[in-house]
Amino acid sequence: MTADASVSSALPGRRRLASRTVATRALAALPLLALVLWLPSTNDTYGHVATYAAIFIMVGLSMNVLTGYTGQISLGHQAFVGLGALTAANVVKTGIVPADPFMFGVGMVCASAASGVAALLLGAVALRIRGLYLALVTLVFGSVFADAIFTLPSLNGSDAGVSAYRPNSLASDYRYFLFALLLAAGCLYIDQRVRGSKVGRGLIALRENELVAQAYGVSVLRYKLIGFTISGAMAGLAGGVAAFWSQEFSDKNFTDVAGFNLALTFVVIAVVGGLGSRGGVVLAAIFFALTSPISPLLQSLANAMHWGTYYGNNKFYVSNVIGAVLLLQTVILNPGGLGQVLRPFSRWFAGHPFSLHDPDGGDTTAMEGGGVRA
Amino acid sequence: MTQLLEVEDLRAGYGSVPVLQGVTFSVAEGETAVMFGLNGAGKSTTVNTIAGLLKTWGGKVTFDGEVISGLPASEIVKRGVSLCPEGRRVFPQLSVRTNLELGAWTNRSVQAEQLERVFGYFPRLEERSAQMAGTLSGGEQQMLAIGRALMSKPRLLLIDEASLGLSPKLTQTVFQVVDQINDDGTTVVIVEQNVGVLPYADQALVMQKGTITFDGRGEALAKTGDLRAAYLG
Amino acid sequence: MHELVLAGGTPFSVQLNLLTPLFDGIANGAAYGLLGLGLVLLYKSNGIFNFAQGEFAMIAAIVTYVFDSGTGVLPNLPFFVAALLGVVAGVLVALITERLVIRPMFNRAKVILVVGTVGVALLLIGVEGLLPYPKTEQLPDIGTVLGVRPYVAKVDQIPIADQDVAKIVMLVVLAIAAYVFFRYTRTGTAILAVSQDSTAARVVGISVERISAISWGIAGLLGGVAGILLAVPPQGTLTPGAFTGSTLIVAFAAAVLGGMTSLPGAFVGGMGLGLIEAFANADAAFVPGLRSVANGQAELAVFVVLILVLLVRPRGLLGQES
Repeated sequence: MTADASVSSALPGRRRLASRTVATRALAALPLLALVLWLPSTNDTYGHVATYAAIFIMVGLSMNVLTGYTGQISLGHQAFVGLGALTAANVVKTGIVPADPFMFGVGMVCASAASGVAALLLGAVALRIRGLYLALVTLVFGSVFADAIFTLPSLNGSDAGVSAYRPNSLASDYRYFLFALLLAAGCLYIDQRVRGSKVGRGLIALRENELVAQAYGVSVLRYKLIGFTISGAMAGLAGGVAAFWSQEFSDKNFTDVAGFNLALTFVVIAVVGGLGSRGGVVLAAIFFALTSPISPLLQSLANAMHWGTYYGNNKFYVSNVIGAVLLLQTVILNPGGLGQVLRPFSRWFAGHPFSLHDPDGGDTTAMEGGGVRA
Repeated sequence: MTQLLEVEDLRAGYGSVPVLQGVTFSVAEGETAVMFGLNGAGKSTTVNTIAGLLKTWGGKVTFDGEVISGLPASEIVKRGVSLCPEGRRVFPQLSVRTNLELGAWTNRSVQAEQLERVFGYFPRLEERSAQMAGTLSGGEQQMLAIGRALMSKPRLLLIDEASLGLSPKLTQTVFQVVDQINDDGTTVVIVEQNVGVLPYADQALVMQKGTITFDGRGEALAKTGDLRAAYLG
Repeated sequence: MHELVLAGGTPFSVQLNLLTPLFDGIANGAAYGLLGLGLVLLYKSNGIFNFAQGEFAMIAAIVTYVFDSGTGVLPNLPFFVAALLGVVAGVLVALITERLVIRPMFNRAKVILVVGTVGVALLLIGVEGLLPYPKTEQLPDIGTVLGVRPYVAKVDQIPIADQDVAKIVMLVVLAIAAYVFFRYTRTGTAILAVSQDSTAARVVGISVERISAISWGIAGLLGGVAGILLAVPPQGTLTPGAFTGSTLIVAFAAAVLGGMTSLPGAFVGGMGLGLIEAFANADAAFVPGLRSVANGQAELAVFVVLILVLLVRPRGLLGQES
């Protein structure tokens, strides 16, 4: 969605309008933006859930980078997010006092770096293993990494968890939400810049047809590793934010059945969003955060329909069913996911006339056609 | 002579793209009909639709008096129509013998006798019967594909581009075997780009842009000028 | 005693108790092999990894429990009848998956199908969770069911439990049956043919839809039997997602080790990985610090084995060159 609309393309049906119109249309998004910024301030729970959504957005973007750029699906992403949380909590080591702002920043950077490195290692393995088998490797890696590393007593606070209190300036849930939102926006921005850059174009060329890309001098090795690293870094950052969101790192959230569930949730977000579609993934992340057991939304709905106790006892399983049904619906019936649903809108924002028909098909699912090798 | 196969105004295509725009022709029992046409004309689509691999969009196909258009492929094979598809399509990781045996899937009782018959036409296959089909040469795979199509003892054999990629000598061998199969009683419809098959044909069809533009037999074939004109436009 | 001392007298001295890991390894290995058989079958027939296999197993175990103990309005049936119903349930779930998820996506990229199976697994976990049965129960002890003592024999004071024997016997029987089915029956050959070229299979008169359903039905059967055997004490569990979260992951690694295209390989890989896991978890602290983690060493070993196999010999021990 670039705003560079001053040059109109020569292709018929692709008349871009002047950048003034784009700016005017962008104004249409303002009320939505205002809502997003105002609503979480009204209530601590809203702020809490909104931050959760921002975390999901970052993880979703991280999965997006991986699939969009390397054509791989990650079934073990909870490892990278957990590693980020673990690193942030252990680096900052708040004990029982609020974090020092500087250390907090350091913690975030370390979280991102740690997961970036871990993903890089996985990427190095990925170079020799392909398609379905690599998906399996990500599954096993995620599970094993989490179970083996996160449960080390020195890292998980001797099984009691590592506390991670926020710095005073971010103590309120609303303020912390704004911080998380800022980081999420930052991830979006980085993704945008990478896509438009030489690295991004190389990665997409690679995904479409590896042989042709190689013939043009695109270094398979380098670009795949870059894709993995960026993905890991984003996931690690999300983990860092998550640690201070719950103000604790507990291995129980990332290991064993809970960890596996988390991995599946991330896959659901990535797929329902539409693999490779940023807008779709953002929407999906928000949706699944709002309907997660953490959020009061479904509980209120259930209460209104007199199913309150039932929902209350079965929250996790209900969210599983919702996620699974949407995943299956997307995969079987609507492969482009939410991204495809959004496309008329995102094109309108970019200056094109509003139309339900997509003349050039757009950057559709990364995994079909020239995408994942299996 | 009875028309074993009757195709009336057949329409079909892929996805939303129509390919067959009303194909009409018929083939008499015991004869060899050859279908020519350039790439994209719809020849493969025609035989694929007759065999039931593609859905019929309109028109009908009658085989031995029974309407078979709309039936699933497995039912059509049971009724005696067998396709040797384009690109051979052997089962690469199964042996030659297993490939052939699978050809008799719908008619187990004739498996033994047909196997003997196929080995008679293609002795090379008997030599290689234990070998993996994927390791055969192109020509051998073509023979295997034809042999497999014969295993169900079909009354109508459809062959799609058998000569593609084969040397001239091998091509002639294949045509001769097809002629023999026809002499032994099987009606044949063969899709070809190679006019070298003409001497073996009783009937010639030319397909252009989804319809039949030439349908000739006997004397009309002798005047290959007409045929060439229709074929090369 | 059956113990082994390696590098005795040095700082790296390691003492291994041999028998316990041996028995544990074989018993667990049988579990992995049982799940692995279904995985290999579906890889051979459809070319995909079925991440829902663990939940096919769990559904069967839950249905068995419900009928065996007579929950709610359902009658209390003899164990073997309940087990039969459980297996039927596993088959049904597999058939439904094939019809609603796999068949519509027959011509799509394999990875998308795998994502579909992930969705099915997630859905089944959710549904199981919503079913009203006590999640912390297990199926009854095999010894109790058969009315015999809980162990077959004892070696050096270590009992060889009934359920472990049952697992191994079942695995061997099913592995042989599956192998014979693929090698010597027409339907088995047809399944292989469809997996190699579905158009050619159609051309020959095979109903690809029917074959697909048969493959998945058998996978459901194998999964169902595996599930019932995995849900018996002492390690048995009926918690939704438990099989998929732990056992299935190792079963996949076991299938890769044995060879994803080889049914006997599922047996070999299962046993092999079971033993590797058990010895990795034994008294030896190969990686300092990890020892305190309950399963850390074992899991690490599994991962290392998986990576090694995929890098060095991707077709596995008994698989064929593809």
